[in-house]
Amino acid sequence: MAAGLQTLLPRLSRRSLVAGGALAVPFLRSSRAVAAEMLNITAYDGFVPPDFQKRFETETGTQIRIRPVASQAPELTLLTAERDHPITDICTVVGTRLHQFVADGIIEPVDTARLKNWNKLNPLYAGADWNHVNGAIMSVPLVIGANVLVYDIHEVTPPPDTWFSLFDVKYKGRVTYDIEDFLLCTMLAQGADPTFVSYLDHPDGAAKAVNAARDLLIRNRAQVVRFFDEGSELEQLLTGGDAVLAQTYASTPARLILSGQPFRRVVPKEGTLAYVYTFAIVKNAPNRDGAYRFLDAMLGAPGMGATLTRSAGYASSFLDADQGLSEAEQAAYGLPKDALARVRFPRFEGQALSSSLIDRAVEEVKAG
Amino acid sequence: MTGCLRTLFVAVPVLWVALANAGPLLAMLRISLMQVYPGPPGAAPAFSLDAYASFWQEAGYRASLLRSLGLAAASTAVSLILAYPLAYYVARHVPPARRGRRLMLLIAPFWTSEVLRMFALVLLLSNRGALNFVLRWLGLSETPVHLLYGTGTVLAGMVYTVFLSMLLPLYAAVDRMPAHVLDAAATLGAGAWRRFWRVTLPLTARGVASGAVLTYLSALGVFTAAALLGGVSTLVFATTIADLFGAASGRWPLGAAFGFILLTISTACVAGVAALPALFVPDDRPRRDT
Repeated sequence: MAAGLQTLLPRLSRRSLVAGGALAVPFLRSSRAVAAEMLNITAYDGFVPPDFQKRFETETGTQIRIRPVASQAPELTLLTAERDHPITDICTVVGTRLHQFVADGIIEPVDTARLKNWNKLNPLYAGADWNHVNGAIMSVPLVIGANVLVYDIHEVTPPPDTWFSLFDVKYKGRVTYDIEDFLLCTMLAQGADPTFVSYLDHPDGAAKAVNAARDLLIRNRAQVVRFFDEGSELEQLLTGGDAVLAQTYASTPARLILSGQPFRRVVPKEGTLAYVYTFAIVKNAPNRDGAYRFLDAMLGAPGMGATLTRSAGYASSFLDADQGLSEAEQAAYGLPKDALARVRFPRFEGQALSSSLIDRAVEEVKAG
Repeated sequence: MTGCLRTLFVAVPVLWVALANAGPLLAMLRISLMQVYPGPPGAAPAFSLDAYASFWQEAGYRASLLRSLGLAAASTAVSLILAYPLAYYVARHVPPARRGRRLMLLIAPFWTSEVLRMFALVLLLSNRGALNFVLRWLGLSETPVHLLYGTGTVLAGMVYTVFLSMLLPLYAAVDRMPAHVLDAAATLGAGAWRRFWRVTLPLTARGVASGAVLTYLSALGVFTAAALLGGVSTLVFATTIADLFGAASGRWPLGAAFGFILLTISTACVAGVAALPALFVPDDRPRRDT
């Protein structure tokens, strides 16, 4: 085999290689030129509204290349693999996973001085504790997914107002939830701290709180028809009539409600945990300037709050979030002011402790 | 030049096997031995057998593996029972000119995506699905019959997924069987059942064994059916592994280790089943007279 390769290589080097090299030079030059005008973004579906993308590309001459992702795990894997030589400029980070993106060295702090439209964001999200690491702001908040109860108005009466309604034997075999998120909601309902910040000095307390919520879920597994992971599964369970009561932060119920299906959503009296979806700048991004231009244009685009809500399916973090949304859309996507006071956000400081306990508890609930 | 071309002909597939099969497996083996993945930037990885030990420490993991083994065995048995008469009918009773078309009709549904076929089952079997609609329309049930998200549904989905792995080897085995031996058995007075047990089954046993191995291995790795049709008590090992990779919290070493445990069991199954025909089934290959 070595002899065969030796006989081939001289031929390649004399003829083909020179010819191939001559052909490759203009290609390499052009690809480098194109790369300078390229902006690579990993984004969830609808997070870069198509009309805005077109307008930005036309006005700036920058070509946006979107790599779609559906959840944090594959995105984290992709970006970790590219960490030493990143090809992505902006990535999507969900508040709950911010600590992993920071710990794995994937994102860098956002220089808000370079974003003249930063003030278009609701200060509740823009200046939030969960978005600060060592005093630096780590991401640009876009939309918020709050955990809510979703129920079939014909099957669930009276309307539920507590997370504990998912354990009601009346709905045996007709309840569904995402274990990880519902575990945190159950902790909240049990009076524990789902942000884990208050347990930092005594992790035993965190383990005790997680175990109490886990045990409650395991004792009430009979009520569950199925655990879901994706919004599409929840949609199928609800529309197929297999589930009548659910916990979710997915955008699915809003779409179902707007399409006239007999479902409603409610923030339980115990409060809720909300996840903020953000755009962050990748550490050593090849087109950092383009990334800032893009983010600033997005923040400054008129009516972007409503546009994002419609394309991504979540309430937006913009000051003008409700402007341009119909009453029905506001009811389906938004959070009432009284509910907003009961919303809590996962905190960066508590996320490592949370992950170390929650993932294991999720497996235990699944295994029963 | 001929030698060089021959070397290339061999080198390309060898390289392909090395890159496409051995490469990812070695990468996964490495991850399964890592204590943390992905590690902190710039830090050298630390290795241990912790991930493999976790399998023996957690009853839940062993339960999901046992469930997978049981469901794979059941779906192999159900596939065999369903596929054998079908293969026999197409190979022995359909005229040769029409055989290709009949086979195509059987294979055609498998040209669509597995996910699509599973979602079709969900639409068919859900509380507001077609089957419940028919049951209500016929007056057989006033309230929806819960058909989805149980062990039976997962089994049905698995059989639907792996059926072809059983059908095709069986068809090949029945098709290869010489017709005159059955005629001879009938002439000698053997009834239908006796002909089946004494002639047909032994002569197609190698096809049954190949089909069973292929089906069992495919069923062990079935993910979509379990993920889309399964309920709270139908967690299988493939979904456990997928969950570990999907957790986004450094659980990859565990997922990779479990993948290797499944691979080891699969290899043992193949070795075991491959040894069976040599012990129990007469060799049906033509022998050269000495």
